[in-house]
Amino acid sequence: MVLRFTDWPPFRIFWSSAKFAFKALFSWLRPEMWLTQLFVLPLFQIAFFVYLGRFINPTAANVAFIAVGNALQVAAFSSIFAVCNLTSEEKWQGTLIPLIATPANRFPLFLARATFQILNSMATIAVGFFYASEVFGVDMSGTDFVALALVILVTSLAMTGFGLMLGSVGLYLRTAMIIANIFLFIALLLCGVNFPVADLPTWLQPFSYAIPMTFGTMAARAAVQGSSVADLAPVLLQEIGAGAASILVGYLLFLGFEALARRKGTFEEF
Amino acid sequence: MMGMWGNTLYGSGFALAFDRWNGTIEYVLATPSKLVWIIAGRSASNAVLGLVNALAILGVVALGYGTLISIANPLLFLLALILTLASLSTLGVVFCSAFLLSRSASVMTNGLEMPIYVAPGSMFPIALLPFWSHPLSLGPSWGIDAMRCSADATYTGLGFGYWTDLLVVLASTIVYLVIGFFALHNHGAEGSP
Repeated sequence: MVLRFTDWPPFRIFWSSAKFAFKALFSWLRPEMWLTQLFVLPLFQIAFFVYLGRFINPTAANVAFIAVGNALQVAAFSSIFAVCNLTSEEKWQGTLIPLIATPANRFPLFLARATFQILNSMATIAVGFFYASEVFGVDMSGTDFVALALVILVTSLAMTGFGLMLGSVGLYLRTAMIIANIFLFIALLLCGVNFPVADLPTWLQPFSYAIPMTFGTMAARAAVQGSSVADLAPVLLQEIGAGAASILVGYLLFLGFEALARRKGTFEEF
Repeated sequence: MMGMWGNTLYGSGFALAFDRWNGTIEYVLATPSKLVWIIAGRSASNAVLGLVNALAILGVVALGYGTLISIANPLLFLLALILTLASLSTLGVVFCSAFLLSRSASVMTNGLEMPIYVAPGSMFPIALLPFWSHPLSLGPSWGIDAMRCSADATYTGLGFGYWTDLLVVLASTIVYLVIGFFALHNHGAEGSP
């Protein structure tokens, strides 16, 4: 009997979990609502910070800095907020216990549930850059679009890993939504989205570099100004490293919080 | 103000959504109390809870940046704040009635958060926005302007003066309450838990 890759249990778990998560999402979320959020959220987030930036420092360079940073950061709603709430949503629906009771490997099981959010993040960022260019006047005539596409892909993957790390807390706490909300705005503050990381207090800056998006915003601005994939390789490798570290730490936290939740009996919401 | 906005939006938006998720919405709808007053009460408490955000921000500004915000006329500021909170509460009733129709309250709430931060001019003058968006500024926007007028004697803002701002806030509060009353009254008749 020839074993195919699709029969490999981790891949089978990953694929079935990803398909199931996609179907489950659109069982309650109408496509038109999802599309509304996809096109409305980036526009108004960029608008808020661009107009704030114009009020304080109305230069084209400042506006471009803010617009590009926010075009990338809009993915945080998908990659941090939605992914972080994966475990909490299972808890709300009462399906966390059956899920934990399965012998399925946790890593592909929960990683797969975040797959759609990776695609969602990429789509949201692409819409964000469209608005940055066409609505807020960011000059993208010199952009290396291949490099920019790679930055978007790497940032979406890395930030989803970061969101999974935060979501592991939801196994033990009643809900991870508070963690998700806090880190949504921490990303705005620490990741060089609206001002350079160097403007932060020195003691805060190391925390910036623990979040993958910090490298993403640096790389995105460089790509918009024409830097190639080769030029961005060091930054992208750092971002991949931060994302991989997030996934590894997240997996270890997940196992730890699972054991803790078993002992404390906190798999249920109430 | 942004904190109060956010509290109103999320609190009011999820007021009935949480009931729906927890299976208690039928009991809420079945009570003889009018739904609009149940929602108005929850919206009001959420808006007032937003004051905690405001105090926290004042604390951060004072401790982190060493700046104390002075208020030129505290009584007028307090009056503007109370009316703005009332306007926010009634706006929450309108949001809730819209969210009651949809099972995607969380998506709508997330989608509305940023537009509401942009439109009212809480962080930058409305004049910076495209002219066609100016009529979209909501009642609480005028409340923000009134609070700024009372806090800073040199502030001109929208240019209509403190009392005109308050009149608009009062009028908008009544309009939102009427809209919310009719919307929730019709929801109760149709039944859409």
